[in-house]
Amino acid sequence: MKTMTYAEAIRAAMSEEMRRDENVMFMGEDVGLYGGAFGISVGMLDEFGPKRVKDTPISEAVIAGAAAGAAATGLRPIMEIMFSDFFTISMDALVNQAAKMRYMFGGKAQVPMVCRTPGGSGTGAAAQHSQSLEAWFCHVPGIKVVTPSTPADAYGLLKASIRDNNPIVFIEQKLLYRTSGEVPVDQDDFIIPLGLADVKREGTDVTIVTYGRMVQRALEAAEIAAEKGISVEVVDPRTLQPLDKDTIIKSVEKTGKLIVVVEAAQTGSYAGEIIASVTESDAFDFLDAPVQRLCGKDVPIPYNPTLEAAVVPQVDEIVAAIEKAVNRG
Amino acid sequence: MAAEVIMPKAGMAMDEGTVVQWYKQVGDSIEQGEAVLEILTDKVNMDVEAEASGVLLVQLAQEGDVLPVFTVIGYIGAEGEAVPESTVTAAPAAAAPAEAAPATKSAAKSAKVTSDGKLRATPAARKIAGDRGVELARVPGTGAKGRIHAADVLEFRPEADASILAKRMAADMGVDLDSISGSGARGRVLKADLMATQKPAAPAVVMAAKAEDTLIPYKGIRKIIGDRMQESFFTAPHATLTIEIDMSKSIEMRKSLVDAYKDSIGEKPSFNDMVILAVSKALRAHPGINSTLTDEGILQHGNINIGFAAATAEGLLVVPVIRNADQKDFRSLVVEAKDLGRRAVKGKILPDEMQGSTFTISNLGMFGITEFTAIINRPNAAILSVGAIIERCVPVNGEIAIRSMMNATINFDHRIVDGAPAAKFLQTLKRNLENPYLML
Repeated sequence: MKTMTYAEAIRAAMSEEMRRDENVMFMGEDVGLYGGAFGISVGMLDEFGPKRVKDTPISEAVIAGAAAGAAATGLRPIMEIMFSDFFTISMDALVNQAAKMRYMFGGKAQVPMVCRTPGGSGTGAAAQHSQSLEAWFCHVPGIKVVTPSTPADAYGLLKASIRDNNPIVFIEQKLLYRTSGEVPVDQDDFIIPLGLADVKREGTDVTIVTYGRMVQRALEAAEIAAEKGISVEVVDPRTLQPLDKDTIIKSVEKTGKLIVVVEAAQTGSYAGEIIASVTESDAFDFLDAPVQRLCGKDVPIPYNPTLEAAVVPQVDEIVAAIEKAVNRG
Repeated sequence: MAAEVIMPKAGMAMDEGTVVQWYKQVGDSIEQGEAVLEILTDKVNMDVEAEASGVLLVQLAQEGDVLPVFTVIGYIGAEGEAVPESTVTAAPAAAAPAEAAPATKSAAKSAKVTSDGKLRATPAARKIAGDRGVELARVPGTGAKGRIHAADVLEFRPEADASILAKRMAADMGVDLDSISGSGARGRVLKADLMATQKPAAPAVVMAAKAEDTLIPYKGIRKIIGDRMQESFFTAPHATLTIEIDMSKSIEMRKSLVDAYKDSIGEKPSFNDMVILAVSKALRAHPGINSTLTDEGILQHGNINIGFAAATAEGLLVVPVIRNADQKDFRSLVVEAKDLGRRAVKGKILPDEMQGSTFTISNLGMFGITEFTAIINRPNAAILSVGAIIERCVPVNGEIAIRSMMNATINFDHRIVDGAPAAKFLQTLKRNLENPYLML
């Protein structure tokens, strides 16, 4: 185990995979000389050279198109989109090409590409640099969507993603980059299989399902609730597509109460998909409170920091939702 | 405005009644005062008469329904007239859950029934209720807007749904209603269920009626009599004493009173009347016989209320009661006994007139029965069985004489009355009837 930041864990995962497999390469805007907008790839150009760590033009369409083509023809590219908001420009290559090839070519083509990108708000980056768009990607069959919440998860999941033969959208979070935690870098070939949820905190009264940055807030809220005698279980699916429904359902069957917390704007968010997975399952008969979803407000993320905080779920709101659930509100 | 047909309160002690049969069907025209339906109290069958003329608009109770008194069970009005809707929905079925849902939980919030009559309950609550056979409508919801949660169902201890009579009996008998599975609708505990707990289960008699047989339903008054007899016989340990009474002087006295009474009150005194008089005077001297075993102790009654068994024209047993019999002059007693006796035959005794006896007399002398033992009429402590007056040879002062003799047998509840006091009571009774003038 080694204590490292989320950003360092991602760098470690990429570097290890590039050392392990020469077909793995990395490209994006300012990822080489500059080391990435968030400093993720600092030092990687020096280690792997310009052939494997490529600065691209400021064209997300080119980045995605080049990655899809490289993946289809034998490389295992990792591409970086500086802000997940800019994926709008990459969508054709990702959605209409990368996600479809395996299926349209009867399994004869594979597209082992990883699209790393930071999402989320909280940095005062305003409406065009702060969105949480994971639900878009989940809606396209053929894409796997990964949303790590800790350095260890980022490390293990990114390694698994790089080894996966399908297009993967790997959504990091700007506000998590500087968080640190224990990472099993010294453990031989540590990976976390995609599609496996993690119970971040065990509890018996309420289940919170959340991912990404909201996991930390849910854990803080659970700690406050514990002081009030409420036992909260926090389930982090870690990958949204495929979704580990079994772990979520099992938890809800135990607690009978479900709160889903996501940062994304509520309407059409993945919270609805998670809730539907529970209510249509055997867990239905165990539900003993209205299911609650705490999501971002249906507005563009404001630039004003006070307003920015007001439109995404905060710890006190999660605590209130927990109390409402157990108090039969 | 449609006139209500209600379950009448036919006696002070009547809490509920059973609908036996509707004489009138919906649409039938009815004259004021005409019988609309027959009901059964815990003592008698009686007719409910129309308070207004019109047609029967609706029947809100089915035959066999047991309903609290004053419940609206039908409406009489003009043909096609609308029935007040609120009362239709507030009919007995709706009344029951309201009564059953105890407002025990202070946390219980407002109505859990939505405007369209659906219950607010979580899936978990519904599942558990279904698994456990709990009727959700009876569970108080502690959630928002009265929503029922799983814990509400798990914590729900239903107050057993029971008829008012059954509740009273359960209280008397010290039986936990929850421990009894009810045989009524939706598990409602009925009197019969309580009775069943008080006796060893007898093997059911299974015997198919053949062509030459007649099968008579065991229900209504017949069953009530049967249940009471069984309850008394298996609850009170019966002990029996018989005494011979020389009725010669009583016969002589009755003979001397007949004409005078006919002139003054229009009734002739009977031997039964004389026995009632003699018993009531004797009871005053032996209050232990005039008592009831209660939970609190042995209740010696201050009043002497004599019940006397009579048979209706249909052969059913009824027991009208003469209150404060020991304080009535003989003329009044004769008048009252005759009136009750006649109405008993016609089945026109009111429920209140059969309440409150403290001692009962059964007289089968008119059938030539010389001696018998009656079953105690609960909650009395004893019953007197009176036989026929028969001329017999008896020794009198060393000579054989022919005297009119009568056997009187007391059956008493040996839990509260012993042999010697019962014997002394019979001695007093004998002395009263053998010296009848002293009673007047």
